[in-house]
Amino acid sequence: MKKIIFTIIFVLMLIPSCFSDQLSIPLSCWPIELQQAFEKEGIKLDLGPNERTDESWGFIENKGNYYNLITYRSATIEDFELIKRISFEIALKKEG
Amino acid sequence: MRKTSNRFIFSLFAFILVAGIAFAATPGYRSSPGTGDIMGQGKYQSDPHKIFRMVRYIPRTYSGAIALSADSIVIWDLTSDDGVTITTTSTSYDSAVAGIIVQNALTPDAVCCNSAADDRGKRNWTWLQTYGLSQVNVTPNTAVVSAGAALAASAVAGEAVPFIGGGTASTTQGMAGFFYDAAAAGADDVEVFLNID
Repeated sequence: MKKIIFTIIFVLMLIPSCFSDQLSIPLSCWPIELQQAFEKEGIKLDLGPNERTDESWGFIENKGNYYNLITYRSATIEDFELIKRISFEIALKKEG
Repeated sequence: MRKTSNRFIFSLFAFILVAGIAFAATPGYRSSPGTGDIMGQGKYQSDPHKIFRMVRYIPRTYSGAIALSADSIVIWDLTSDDGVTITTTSTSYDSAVAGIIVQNALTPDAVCCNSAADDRGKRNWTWLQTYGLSQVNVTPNTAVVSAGAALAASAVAGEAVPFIGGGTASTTQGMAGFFYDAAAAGADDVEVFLNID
C-alpha cells in the first residue's frame, strides 16, 4: 500500500515539469531587443531561466546564429505568428 | 500509531497534489492550451515537452502549388541544402523526413529559386514539430495502421504511412516516430509521437 502511495506521489511530482515547448528560430538574436519587443506585446520573456517570475512566458536561449525560446506553457498559434513577426522584424532591421 | 502514519501519508499526498498544480504557471488544462488544443491535446497536465523549428516551405513543383495544410509530414529540401527549408516528397519512407508542420505553410511569393535568406520575412515560413506528441494525416494508399507502427512519409505529398522497411536503398529508411493509435487508411489527425530531434 505504501509503495503504491509513494509511486503515485512521485509521478505527481514529475508531471508538472513537463509543460515547456522549445521553439527554435534560425536567426541570430539580440536578446534585449527580443525581450523589449515581446514586452510591447504584453509578454514577459526572460533572458534566462533564473529570472523566472509568475508573469514569465518563457526565456531566451541564445545559441549564436540561432536561438531557442523555451516556454513555460504550450505555445499557441498566436504565439507562433508573433514570434515569426518579431524575429524577422529584428533581423531585417539590423541589416538596415 | 498506524492511524497517525496513514493520516500523515494522505496529508502529504493531498499537499503534493495541490502544490503540483500551483507551481505550473498556467497548466494546460486551465488556460492557453493553444496548439495543443488545436491538435486535440493540451487540456491535461500530462502534456509532454515538444520541440518546434521555424522553417521555410517551398513546394516540390511550383506549377499549381497550393498551401500545405497543418498536420502534413514533410522532408528537408535536398536542393536548398540549408537546414531550414522543407518540402514534400513522393518517395515512401524518404530518409530526409523532417517532421510534421503544425501550421499551414503558404507558397512562396517568388516563383522559383529564392534562398532562405532572400525569403526572410516572407509568408512561406511555418513551424515544424520534430519532437513530442503530434498528429498527422494518413495516406489512403495503405492498409489499416496499427498502434505502435513506425511512422514515415508516404508517396502522397504531406501524408504519412506506416514504415514497413525500405529495402536496401539508403534513401528510403526514414522513420519519424510511431503511431500512438490504430487508424484507417486515409484517416486525418491521427495521434503520433515524433522522435526526430
